[in-house]
Amino acid sequence: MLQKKICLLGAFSVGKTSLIQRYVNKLFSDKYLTTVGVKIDKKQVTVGSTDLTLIVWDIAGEDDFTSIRSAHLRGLSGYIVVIDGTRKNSFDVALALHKRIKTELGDVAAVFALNKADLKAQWVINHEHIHALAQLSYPVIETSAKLDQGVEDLFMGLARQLVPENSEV
Amino acid sequence: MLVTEGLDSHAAIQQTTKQQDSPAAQGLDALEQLRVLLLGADYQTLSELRQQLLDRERYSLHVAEVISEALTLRAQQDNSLSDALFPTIEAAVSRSVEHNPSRLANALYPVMGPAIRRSIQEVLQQALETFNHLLEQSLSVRSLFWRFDAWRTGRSYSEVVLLKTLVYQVEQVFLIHRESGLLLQHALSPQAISKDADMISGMLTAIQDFIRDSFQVTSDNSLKTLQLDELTVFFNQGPYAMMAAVVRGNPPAEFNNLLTEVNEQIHRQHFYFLKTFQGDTSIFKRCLPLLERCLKTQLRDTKKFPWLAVLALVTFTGAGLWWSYQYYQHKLIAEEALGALRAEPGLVVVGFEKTDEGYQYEILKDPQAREPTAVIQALQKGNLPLNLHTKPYLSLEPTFVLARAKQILQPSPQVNLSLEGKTLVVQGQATPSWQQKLVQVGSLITGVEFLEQSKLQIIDPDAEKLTEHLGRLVKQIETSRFNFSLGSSSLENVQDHAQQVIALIFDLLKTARLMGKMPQVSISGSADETGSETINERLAKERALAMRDYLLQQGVPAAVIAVPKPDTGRRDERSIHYQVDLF
Ligand SMILES: Nc1nc2c(ncn2[C@@H]2O[C@H](COP(=O)(O)OP(=O)(O)OP(=O)(O)O)[C@@H](O)[C@H]2O)c(=O)[nH]1
Ligand SMILES: [Mg+2]
Repeated sequence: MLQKKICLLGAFSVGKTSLIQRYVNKLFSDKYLTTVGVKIDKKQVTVGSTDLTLIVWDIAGEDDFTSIRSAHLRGLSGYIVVIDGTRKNSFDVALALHKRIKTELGDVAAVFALNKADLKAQWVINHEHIHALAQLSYPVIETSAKLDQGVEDLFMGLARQLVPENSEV
Repeated sequence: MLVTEGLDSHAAIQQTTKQQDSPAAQGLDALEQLRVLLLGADYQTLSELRQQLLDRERYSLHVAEVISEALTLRAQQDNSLSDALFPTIEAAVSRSVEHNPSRLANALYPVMGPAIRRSIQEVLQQALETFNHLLEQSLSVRSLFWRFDAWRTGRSYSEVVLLKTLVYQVEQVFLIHRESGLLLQHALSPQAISKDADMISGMLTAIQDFIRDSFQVTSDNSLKTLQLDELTVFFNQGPYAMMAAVVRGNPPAEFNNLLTEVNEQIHRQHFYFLKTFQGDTSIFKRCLPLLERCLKTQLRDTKKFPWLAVLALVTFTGAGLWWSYQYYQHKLIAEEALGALRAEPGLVVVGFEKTDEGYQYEILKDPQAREPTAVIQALQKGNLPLNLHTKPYLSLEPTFVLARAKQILQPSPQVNLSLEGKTLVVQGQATPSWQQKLVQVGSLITGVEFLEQSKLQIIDPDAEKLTEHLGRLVKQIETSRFNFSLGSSSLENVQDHAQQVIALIFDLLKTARLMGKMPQVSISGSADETGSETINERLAKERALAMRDYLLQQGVPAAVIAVPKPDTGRRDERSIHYQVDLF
């Protein structure tokens, strides 16, 4: 029985909670209820021949007043950095967070999510931004929690990195 | 890349060492000599020792000498020996069982019996206590208050009961990987309900982290307890794993020690796995028994002797015994009654069974037989339900045939009835009417086919009386006289006489008829001696005729009064007299 702790990180209101809700409970709501502290969910997945339980930590988004507590990040095996395509600020926060974790925890599995793909018309994130992300050599996946696009891929993209025999594939 | 580099440099070092060694090997003898010179006799001992260490056999011999002492010593110091040995012993035992199960079975045999007995005893004791607990709960006035409390607070009744009767109960124990907050193992008490333990485990860790971060405490100082209404979460931090126990109520102080003890033991046993934990929790299954040790429950007044349960049990058993005794007794009585009914003449028991309503007897009863209820009256005591269902029937037993004959014929005391085979023998004296009845009915009596009445004497008491009465009447009539005046045949003052005679004649007529006879009253007249013969003769005749006419005139039937006969009796009187003849 393999268990892994993963975290969803990113600026506030980028859709972290929505992505988890969509993934775990197949639900979506337009209402915005900001997460306070941490909320934990779990999801069983199968990667190849390995059964894996993802313990998903939904951590309150960063804003000007609160930064993510390092304590919550301890022991994580992988993380998803969520960017709201309609907000440039969320991109900056994502990069900063990623850098911080790299220094704090070293190399861990990670995936970038470009969320709110259904609002692409309003996106301020352009090709250059995406290219810059791709340079970090982690998967970058466009998602929409609202339309259930790329959500499964997003989590599986991370899960695949967590299972030993698949980690190099 | 990095790894390869490391390997390369290591190989390089080894190479240089080799290069240095080869010239030294050439001057080995010289060096040896130098050593001998420097160390003298000690060198001999040292190389001896070295040989001993290198030679497997000799080293083993050496260790063998002290191994028991060493083990004993270490065992006195701490528990690590048992922790270290236990996987090996476990494996050895299971190997032994695989290899030859009977050997271990034989060895365990002397302890198994008592152990099994004890565990059965414990289970029974527990069951009794649980039962007692339940009884107390459902019986006491307290329980009413608790129900009210449950209703008031919106909690389930069992929750309230638990709260009120518990000193404490450890509902769940989590073993959590400290760093990742992943759940390593989880033990749940049977009474408790748990949401997803994996998620709770994460949240407990997050809470810990949050507190630590928020109040800038050192990582050694962490949250020890978390209080939520009646629930308390006790934390015990180990270097790699945290234990969290969810407790309802107030556990004693030793409970914390228990957590510490268990956590330490887990760390001792699984140190390596904890340190290198990468998400594979399967190895920690072995910790479950240890965690379960922490699932303690203490009820209030648990030491109390289970009076209620024992009382209930005794009552039930007593009632059961009493019932079976009663049942047995009733059965005996019912069977005795059956015997009595069967033995009773004129009763035939055709059915006997036990139903929910009691014992049922189907009885055929001859009308002459004793009432079945009377037969079993002596046995029918208390409220034992012996139900008799009687149907009439005619018995052919001689006594019943005879009794039946007596009942139907109602013979007088002078008649004696007896039965000879199918013949009813009638003896004695009887009236004709009774005899008539006997002839009519006798052969219709069930069981009687023939009548024998040769020794029956018929006596008619009425006829005797009538004859007597008739005789009296005849005498009265024949002695009646009516006197005439001298030489006269006219009836003077005849009324009184006539009245008397007429009454007698009517009575006579009636009585004679009853006897089937016809009376005739002849009237004769007579005269005194004073007149001449002829005159007297005529006068006597006239007198008789006068009376006859008068009587006829008064309504006496003509057939009764005969033509007057000449007076045969020589009487010297002026009268008439009567003579009665019966035909
Ligand atoms: N159109 C669209 N809206 C989305 C999408 N994902 C999330 N949202 C909306 O964005 C808002 C914020 O979503 P959350 O999931 O609560 O964001 P969060 O990152 O958890 O925010 P914090 O908990 O405050 O850090 C909500 O109103 C969501 O409905 C998406 O893919 N498309
Ligand atoms: Mg949220």
